[in-house]
Amino acid sequence: MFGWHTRLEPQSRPLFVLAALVIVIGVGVVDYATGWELSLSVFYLLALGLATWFVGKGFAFFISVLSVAVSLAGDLATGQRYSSRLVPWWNASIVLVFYVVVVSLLAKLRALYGELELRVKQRTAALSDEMAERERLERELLEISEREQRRISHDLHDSLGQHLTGAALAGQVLEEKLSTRGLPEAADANKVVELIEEGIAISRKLAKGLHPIEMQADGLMQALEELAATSSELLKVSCRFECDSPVLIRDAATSGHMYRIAQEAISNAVKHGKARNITIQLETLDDGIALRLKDDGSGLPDVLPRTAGMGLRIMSHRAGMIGAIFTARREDSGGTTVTCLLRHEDNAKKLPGE
Amino acid sequence: MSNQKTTIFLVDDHPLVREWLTNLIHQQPDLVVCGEAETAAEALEAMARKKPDVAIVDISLKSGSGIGLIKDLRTLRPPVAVIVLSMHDENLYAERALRAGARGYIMKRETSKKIIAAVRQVLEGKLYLSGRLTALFAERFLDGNTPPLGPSVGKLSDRELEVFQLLGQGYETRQIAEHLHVSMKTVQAFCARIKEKLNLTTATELLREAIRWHENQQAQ
Repeated sequence: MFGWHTRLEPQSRPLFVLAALVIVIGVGVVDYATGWELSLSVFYLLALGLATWFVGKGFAFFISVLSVAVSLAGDLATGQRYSSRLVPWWNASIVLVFYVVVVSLLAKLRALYGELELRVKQRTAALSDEMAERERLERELLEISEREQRRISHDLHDSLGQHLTGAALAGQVLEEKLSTRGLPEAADANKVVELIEEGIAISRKLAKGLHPIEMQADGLMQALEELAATSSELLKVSCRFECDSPVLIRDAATSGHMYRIAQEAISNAVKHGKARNITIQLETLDDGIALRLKDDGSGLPDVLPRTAGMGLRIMSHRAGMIGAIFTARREDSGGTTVTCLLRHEDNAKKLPGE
Repeated sequence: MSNQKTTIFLVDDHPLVREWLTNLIHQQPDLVVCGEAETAAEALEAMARKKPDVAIVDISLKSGSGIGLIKDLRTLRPPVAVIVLSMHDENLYAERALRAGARGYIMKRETSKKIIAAVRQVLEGKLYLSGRLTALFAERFLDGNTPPLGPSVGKLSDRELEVFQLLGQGYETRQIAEHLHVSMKTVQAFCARIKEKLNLTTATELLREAIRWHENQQAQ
């Protein structure tokens, strides 16, 4: 409830000193004006409170003494005669003790409050450190898996593919040697060559599945086109890719993440939403490039199943990594729309020739 | 000349492929491998000396690109007939390789049977392409979309042609919109109409055609 004071405190200390003094003088004047019968000692507490909370204990004691002095001076100045000369002094002493107790309690409270606040701050800092660390780890995990897939894909495509090519050539040489001698085993050798060539085709397909995007600016368009085709075929749904004007993404990692977001969204739509029709849209908007996946499934449930929740988290993570904005929402008309907006600044490249 | 063997030079960064390619070629009585290289620079230097009849070149090399090498080889005298032998999909690279000056394109997964046939066909002065690719190019030719003729851009309005040209120069939708002072939606509408008029189904195809057309214009 005192949250606002933390913002005021450091720069406005003199202000509170002034405020406390003004209040004391103000109440003192009223005290004098209203005569000796009415006690206004409670109103000095406002000044005491301000002084204790915002300035300090020492100053608060000073204000206590000052308040009592002002009040006493006012009462004496009215010229009222007491039954004993000691009465006003006695009363003033009582009030002073009362003030000192209040100030002490308030100061203690203030100290406790400060401590509590400090502890909350420390915990919050620790927590946000932990969260940042976790996010970093998650990012690292995604990067590692991406890197590994790329490496395996590269190895499959290049090393294994090339090796198999050599093997196929060797088989071909064998086949020709056998057939020049008129041996029937030539047919077997030929079969071996065919098998090896199938092996090359398989390794290519695997490589493509692991790392679907060619390192070109128009790679994402092509990859999404193929994704739509393979999804339709394998998942038995109608998946269309819509893209009116060419969308170019210069950064291969960015393309990669956008592709994986599309892949994940399709898998979610089919697995959890039981969608029959999915549209992938890639479009240039005023503020960025939008990748949108619309489906006609059951829409995002209110309570996400664990796996879908994880999928969404990873999608939003990927979007975060490329500086894109990710949203997933249930449409009123049914189905889910997943959007990933990559701002132009994050995909910027100067006009050619500029 | 008739009793002299046809010389072939191999450029490939994979030793196993080179080794067995050599063995395969040496099965043929009239063909001989006269040298091999791993990098584009090595290859260019060696081929200038050895003057092979045919070069079999991989597109991805340890250093330097196969496409660049093919372009450089055009300066060789006497000319060498280049056949590209690559792990890469013909859809992506065949046309680029042919434009650079190659006379044939073979994907490595179908190497073994076709390589000798390709060498012979290229020696006869013909192009060697897979059946699929030949059919594709023929279709483009019939559509009037074959590179020398350019796509049927005559059907495009001035504004559409402008968009088409900018696409070919590598401009993005947003940049085209800025350049022409129109909205992004308008550019997209233009693109949709261009696709319709040129009989293209996807934005990728549109981009390819635009680039092809642009490169063609540059060449002329």
